[in-house]
Amino acid sequence: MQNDLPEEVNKLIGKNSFTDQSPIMIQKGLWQNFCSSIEDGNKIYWDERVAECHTEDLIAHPAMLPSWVHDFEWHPQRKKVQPMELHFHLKNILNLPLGIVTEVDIEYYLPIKDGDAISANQTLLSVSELVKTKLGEGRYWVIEVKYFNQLEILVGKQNIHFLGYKK
Amino acid sequence: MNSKILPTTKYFTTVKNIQAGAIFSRDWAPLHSNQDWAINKGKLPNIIMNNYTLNGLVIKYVTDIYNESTRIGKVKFKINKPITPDKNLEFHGSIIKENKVSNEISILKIKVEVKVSDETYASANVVAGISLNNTKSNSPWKIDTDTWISYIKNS
Repeated sequence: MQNDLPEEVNKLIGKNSFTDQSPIMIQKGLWQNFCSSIEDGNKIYWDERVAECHTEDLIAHPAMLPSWVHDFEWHPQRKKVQPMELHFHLKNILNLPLGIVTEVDIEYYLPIKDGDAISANQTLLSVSELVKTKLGEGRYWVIEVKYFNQLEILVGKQNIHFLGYKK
Repeated sequence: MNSKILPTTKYFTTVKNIQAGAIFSRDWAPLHSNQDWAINKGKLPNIIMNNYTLNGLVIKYVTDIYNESTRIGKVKFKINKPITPDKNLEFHGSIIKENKVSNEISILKIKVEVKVSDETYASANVVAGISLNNTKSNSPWKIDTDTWISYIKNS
């Protein structure tokens, strides 16, 4: 426990605080649009016959793992769910209105396929002491996001390092 | 082992491909797709490439060098400078560790640097399983999950 942190923040450390549910079922057309935008012709994203030899079916581009829990920008029946809500919650509590990602560490355990549905749990791992940076005064923090498929099997994990700061 | 230098590849950024990378990765933040917002409200030189697109390009760099049996286990990356349109990105790589787990499969740790001219805009360490002969029976995708995770953790 860090003494210079609000109790509300100390209580968040090490605990699963927010859960995101994929608003869509995974579809190959969605990942193939992404592959097209980066000109990635890897056949396990595109060609069933080649994918069958390695992953049994086509798989989604791994870089899209966090994308699957992003909500629609607009939905006819509800307000948009903020992605990485824990990060924005922390910024509010710590009164650090600005934030950037400084480092990303993502691990891939199982491939994502057509018809899968992904959920994610967010946990605050650590918050630094107050620091002075070129951007302003703030704190570094690390959020762990664990991704599960519809069978509740862990398919990947991401640690995102943020700097929250104010001018 | 001594590091082995991998081939260099290039990718030219445009307004369209930065926007497409963001939108198709379901990242709606305006700094990646709205030039007016990025310049006038975000105080940025232009829209900037999002993390998912950069990660996608790093993964593509590795899988293009080897083959479709390549299994990506981990990517750790840092962005030093925002990537904007009209940049000729150069992807430089080197193998910094190799763990041969069978006669046909190696787990590689690869350092990737994304440069414009000589300036490093981003860097990454990638852990990937590669098959030396690209056959079905020796594909890294056939490694069971627990063993695969242990390779990632020990890399």
